[in-house]
Amino acid sequence: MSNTYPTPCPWPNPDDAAPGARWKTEQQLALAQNANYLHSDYHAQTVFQQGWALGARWDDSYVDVARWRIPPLTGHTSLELAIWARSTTTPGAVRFTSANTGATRTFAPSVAGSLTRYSGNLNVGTLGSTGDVITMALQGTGGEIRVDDVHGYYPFISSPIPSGKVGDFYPQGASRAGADLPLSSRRGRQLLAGARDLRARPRCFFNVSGLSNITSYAPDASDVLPPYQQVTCVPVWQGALRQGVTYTIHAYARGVATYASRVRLVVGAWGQLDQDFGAYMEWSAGAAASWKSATFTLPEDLDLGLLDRPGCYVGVVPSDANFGGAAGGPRSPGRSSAELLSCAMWGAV
Amino acid sequence: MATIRPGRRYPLLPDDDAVGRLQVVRQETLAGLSEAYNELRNRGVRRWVSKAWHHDHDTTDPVHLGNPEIDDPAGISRTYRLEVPTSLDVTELVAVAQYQRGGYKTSASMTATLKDLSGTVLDDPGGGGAVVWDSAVADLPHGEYRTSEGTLLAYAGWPIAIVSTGVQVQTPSGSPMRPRPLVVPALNAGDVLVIEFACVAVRLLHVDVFELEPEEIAI
Repeated sequence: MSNTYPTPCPWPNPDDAAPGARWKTEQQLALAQNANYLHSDYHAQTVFQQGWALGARWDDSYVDVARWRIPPLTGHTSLELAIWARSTTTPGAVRFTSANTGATRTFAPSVAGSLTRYSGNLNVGTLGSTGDVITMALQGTGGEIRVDDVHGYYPFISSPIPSGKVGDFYPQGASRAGADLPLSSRRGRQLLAGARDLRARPRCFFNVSGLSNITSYAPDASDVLPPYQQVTCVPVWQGALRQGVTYTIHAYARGVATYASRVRLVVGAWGQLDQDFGAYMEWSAGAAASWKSATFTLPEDLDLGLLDRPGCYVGVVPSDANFGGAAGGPRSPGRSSAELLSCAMWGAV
Repeated sequence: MATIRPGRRYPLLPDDDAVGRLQVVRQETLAGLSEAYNELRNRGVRRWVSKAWHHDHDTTDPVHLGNPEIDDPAGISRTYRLEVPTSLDVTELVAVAQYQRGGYKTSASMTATLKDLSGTVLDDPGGGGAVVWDSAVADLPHGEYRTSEGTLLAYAGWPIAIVSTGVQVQTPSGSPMRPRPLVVPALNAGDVLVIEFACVAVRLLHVDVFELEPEEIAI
């Protein structure tokens, strides 16, 4: 093997390492191939996907209209982008930019065509723990550019995966996992480090952006996210939240004129999103839009019944500093004029 | 034959000392590494896609921002699409949808169809074809407004409701469940697929799609 994995990839059988059993070469190989496969595919998935029922529409030169904060993924430097779009009268353009690399990817939907899918990749480079911000800009001079759907995801890496250590992951090639080679303590350490590296890779819970700078043409567009619960809260998938795991929230927001605003995490049953784990970000009155981040860790003694309950949600909502006040009653998430423009939540689940 | 049963917590990894320098790597360490990688794979490669659709809204009044002050969905027929870049291990897709429904006297329906990027319908017709929710058989309920204490509020709007495909494809007798998860043909595992939601008198707000974890994997 040379840093490869087959499709479908075999699962190593722990029973073959039971007392009295013989650890066979095929199991050695399966463990190595599984490690390569996981490096290729572990949490290589959607990092943002959003739609606008009436389209994100614009009729003039380039303006930035949306932004998404994306998590890093070890070994992955390319983000795949797809849009469903069309333009009228003159060719429009949709441009995505990575803040980390400055690289761009531009799509030019055909003139007067129907809604069509366009796709391509964007080089985001090697990202630090705070990830990257992907910005979408529209250009529709002389006509109209319209985007109905946007999708960004990390594609899996085809077999064979590149050689060389990435993060704490060591690709498993012929010199490590070939036939007749012993499982040395060196390779054992590498497999252990690789498992820890995989486990630390974040998965994106949700990622949504408002639409900026286009209300002169599309008056229904709003740069502020509609603070309905459904936009920034997702149902808890069994196993999505785990005790002892740290989650990160990134929010791009601005302060309202009269009082400090907060964006805070909520977990709980639908309509009663009031379980507070103390994670919030605060913008002072009148503060310009900026990114802030907060983390929270589910306590080890958390009642898992809370998370397994049907209809349990996790998400972020804007509120005033007291989580209530004049804009809404106590524990009324979403009833506030705190201005949330984009937010994302990741966790190493 | 060994089996994998997904657990609630991360697998416990072997201790660093078990792979220490000049140490003999013992069988229990091998078993531990295998179990850890299997568990990571079972959880970590399963896709989870979340998509929100934004709709026009006509108020910035903070008193009303918690309630969608937008048009009655009764007159709207619209198709929404969601992309799923599937894993190589995918078998079924589970969807959870949040929506608003038109008035109580309005017929409403939502039909989910799985397609590839060329538009070919993929979901096994023998399993019932597309997944349908229909007000005529009462599986597309209206939402409710409730206080944080759980008291039902009277409100002349369109509260959010939730439906899902469920996690079971067939009944114990072998007939298709209604609704049921979308079935991905093995040949399409690893492809980017599209789920189209054709909605009548329903405004779709948010959909989460998960790859179903099998209860048990035989290896």
